[in-house]
Amino acid sequence: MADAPHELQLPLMPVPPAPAPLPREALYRRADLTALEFETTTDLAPLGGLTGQPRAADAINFGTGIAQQGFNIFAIGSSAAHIQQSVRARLQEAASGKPVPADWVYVNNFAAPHRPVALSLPGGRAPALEKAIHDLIEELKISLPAIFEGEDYQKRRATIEQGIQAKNQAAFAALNEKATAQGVAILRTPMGFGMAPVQDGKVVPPDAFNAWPEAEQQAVRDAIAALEKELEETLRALPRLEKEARDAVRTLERETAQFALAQPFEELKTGFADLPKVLAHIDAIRTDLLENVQLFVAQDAPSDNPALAAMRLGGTLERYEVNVLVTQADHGAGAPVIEEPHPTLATLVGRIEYLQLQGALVTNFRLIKAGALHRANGGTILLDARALLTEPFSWTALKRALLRREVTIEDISRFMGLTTTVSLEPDPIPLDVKVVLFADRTLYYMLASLDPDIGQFFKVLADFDDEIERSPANEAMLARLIAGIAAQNGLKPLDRAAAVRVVEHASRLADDQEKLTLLVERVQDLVIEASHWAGQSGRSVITQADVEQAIDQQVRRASRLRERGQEMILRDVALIDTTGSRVGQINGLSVLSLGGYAFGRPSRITCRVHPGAGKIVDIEREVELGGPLHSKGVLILSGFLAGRYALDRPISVAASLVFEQSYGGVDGDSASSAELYALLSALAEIPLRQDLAVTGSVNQHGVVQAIGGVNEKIEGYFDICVARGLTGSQGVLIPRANAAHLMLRADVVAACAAGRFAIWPIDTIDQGIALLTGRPAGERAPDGVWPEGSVNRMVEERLARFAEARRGADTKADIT
Amino acid sequence: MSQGLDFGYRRLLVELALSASDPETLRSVAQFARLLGLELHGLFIEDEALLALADLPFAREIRLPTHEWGPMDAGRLEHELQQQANLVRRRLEAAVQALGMTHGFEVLRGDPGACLAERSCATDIIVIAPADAAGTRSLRTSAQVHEAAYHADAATLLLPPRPHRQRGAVVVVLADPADPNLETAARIAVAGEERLLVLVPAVTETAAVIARTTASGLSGQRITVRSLAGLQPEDVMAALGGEHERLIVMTGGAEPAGGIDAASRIVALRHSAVLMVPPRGRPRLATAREADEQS
Repeated sequence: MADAPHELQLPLMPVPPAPAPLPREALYRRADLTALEFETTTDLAPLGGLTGQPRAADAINFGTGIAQQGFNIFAIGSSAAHIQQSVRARLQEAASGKPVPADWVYVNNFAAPHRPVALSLPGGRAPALEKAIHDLIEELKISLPAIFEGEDYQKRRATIEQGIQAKNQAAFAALNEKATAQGVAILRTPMGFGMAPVQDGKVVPPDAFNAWPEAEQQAVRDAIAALEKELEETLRALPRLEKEARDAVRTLERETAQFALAQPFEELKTGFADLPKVLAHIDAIRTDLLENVQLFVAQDAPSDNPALAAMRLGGTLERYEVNVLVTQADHGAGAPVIEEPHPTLATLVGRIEYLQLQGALVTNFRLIKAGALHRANGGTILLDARALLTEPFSWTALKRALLRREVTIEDISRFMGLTTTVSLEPDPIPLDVKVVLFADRTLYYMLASLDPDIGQFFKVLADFDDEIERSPANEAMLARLIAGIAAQNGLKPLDRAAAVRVVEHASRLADDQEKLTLLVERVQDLVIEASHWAGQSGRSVITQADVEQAIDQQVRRASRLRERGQEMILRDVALIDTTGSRVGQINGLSVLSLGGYAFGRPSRITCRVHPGAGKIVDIEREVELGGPLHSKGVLILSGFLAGRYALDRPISVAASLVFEQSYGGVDGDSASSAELYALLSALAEIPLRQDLAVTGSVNQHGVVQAIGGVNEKIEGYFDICVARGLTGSQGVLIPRANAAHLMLRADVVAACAAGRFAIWPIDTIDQGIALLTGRPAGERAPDGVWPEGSVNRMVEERLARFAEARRGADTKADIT
Repeated sequence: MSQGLDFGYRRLLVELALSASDPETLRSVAQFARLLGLELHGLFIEDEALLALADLPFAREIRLPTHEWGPMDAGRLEHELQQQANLVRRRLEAAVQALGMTHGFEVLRGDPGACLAERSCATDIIVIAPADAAGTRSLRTSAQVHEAAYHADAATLLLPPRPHRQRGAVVVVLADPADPNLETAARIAVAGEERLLVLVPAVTETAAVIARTTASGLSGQRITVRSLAGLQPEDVMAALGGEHERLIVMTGGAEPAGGIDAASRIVALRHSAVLMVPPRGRPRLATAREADEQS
């Protein structure tokens, strides 16, 4: 390589001054509630609902205020943010001012019983219709039989029947008389009639008849032949006479029933005179009843089956009853707000139930049951999107209902051919409902990418923040939210110090000094537990000590694994040095999140180098224990090396990096700065301090970048150092960008304040390597040369030696 | 159910080949047997004249409901009579089993009227079922059976054409103040837990009637006494008024109310059953004993 270094465009970067450890006040931000005058939270006006969620609140208000189709709401955010509760409160508030929606009933379709008719009534009036019709039928059960047993009806009917019977008898009597006159008797046989010669009132036996003169025999035969024709005609007239009788009796029944029904039906109709469709149905009942008045007159005996009797199913008079599907009579003013926690197809769009009756499945319009959409019609329905999507057919049924603007009861077992029993096709019911779906963001974005219809049906997105800016005003707002939590849950009030501590913990939960969590459930859990501990201590007010105890206990309950990990380190089973220095070895920091609890722990990262083709081997990746982000971080190191040191020659190093004693997966790039320090140490053969731990990712220019879980990582390493005894030199290097996220435990802050532990905010790899090695990183001079004794100089020289060695090896190989 | 209603009758006798063979009528008959505490006894009488007719070479039969004529065959006729007997036996059994009663059933062959007269005795009540839709009561055989029933020593129960009332007062029409049917009707009312409506000649002393009735075990509160203007059916109808009676007990033979035609008119107009008791009232105990010995 002959290129002069000064001819290259060097990636020169200004080297920031060596950082100082962060002061105490930078490690934990106190809450400022001085603007809020209170002794306990009972003095505060409680807050609830959509506190701190102005964007989501605006979306909800917009979504509930707009009536056009498709403007349903999809509320997304963390479940711990209590979205559902907050939205429900807001929706109930909005619904109270809206008009009461209609009641819906199903009634029998007398023309086509398999297609029950849906009737709409003004909200709250359906039970009155049901009762009025039921009472009418009950009354008719008594009055109609009485009328039909009455003397007047019986006389008229008897007259009809006797008239017909008299005609029959007259015809037979005449024929019989004629036959008798001719010496013939008409006899009834099992299957009909026959004719026989008679003498002296008795049928002539065959022997006697055969003894008659032939002329007499022939005369009788002729007479019988003539009479047979008349008998045939008489018999043929019978069905016609019977039909006449039946028709006359039916007419009489209709006239009698019409008279009996007139007044009760007129009285029934007066109560619903403003509802034409109801009046039409009442008329249909009357028409059917006139045709089937015998149902009342010849009523079945009461059922012996109490279950059937209780359900009033199977009775022939059930056809006249009313099935109240939905009524607003049982809830207060305003529109309904319905939550359906288990949105199966049946619970969502309703179902048709069946009864097993003598081996067959039977149903009728009274077994139609409402779904959540029916109950929410005219109001709002709240559904959990995950529950909806995991129920077969529910999602498509909901979309279908929204598209058609009607609820159709779908019997999926019929569609799939699982049952072939006779079923119903009830009238669809017009649907006017606001749907609010809840989901976490991941699910929503996945759904949005997979289902193009979502934009058609859910045009309003209510995106709930997990956190808000930490300002005095928002701290005060959070304090009032805490007051609301205490009041709503019947907890003890918090004194000022306790409220301050909860607000500060809300910042820790947000992992940011400048943010406050909006995950209400986690704040609520803390306050509930603090209230418990206050009660255990006999206090009527929650103090800061109770809050601290609650936090400690929450940590303790979940820290079995953390303690086992620390124990392994302290017993030198897991090798972590906290003193001394080593070449190519560094303490990285990682975070484990298990069951909602996260804790940090140190991990030893080592690096070995030798001449090679410029490849950095990530052992985690090689054995498939490293995730893609970790691999990305390691590959960035190659870019850093090449950009900084391989200005005029290829990188001729082979390096291997490993998380020692790591037997599980590793992901994330937060250890990439530590890996780079280990690589530089191994190349420069300069030892790294083992009393320091490092976290932070790095880019190809050597800039250290922010990572997550900084508080847990620092505390994880601090706990090990404390267990072994703080030396005063120990500390953690963090990305400067993470300094704003520090909300450390009080013991960590105290140790730092006492100079027994330190947190260094790092901007660049050069700053970090200087701290870790005690040598300056060095800044490349304009002539391209690193200062003598600097880490960078030593790295570059080693790389040059590797290149030479490799070139020599390649030459030998060529010769051979 | 009334058990051993001590009013001198033992059996309810019903002819099943010519009438009363439909299930509805049989149920009604069984319910009356239960009310009156009688054994229900069915008679299926195969008409010997029919069998004689079948032996005539020219004998023909018009069969229902096809209205087709065909030659009569003695073998087939016997078979059909047997099938009919089996059918009515099953119907009778079904009717009595539903009420948990005892019953008897006989198949006889001969002249129906003569057979009925022969098989009945003074402790029987013979059922006269309503005429069938064909109105064949005027035919020779039916007429003979009815005649035999009317002239037998037994009492007669005339049923209305349609299912009659299951509940309602028991009515007794007294031919004279000493008519023993009063006690008969009172016992039936007690057994059926019904009211008793007594229709009495105008001259009758009401207190005496009530005294005789209460002696039969009926509470005085359940007795109503009304006067009769006369004994014509119209007088009975007028006295009944709007009553929904279940059974009318009256004396047979005594003119005019006791005539069979009068009773039939009352049945038709009131749609109530009429129990027509022979003029002597209760059968003689000796006759009852004789019947026991015969059986």
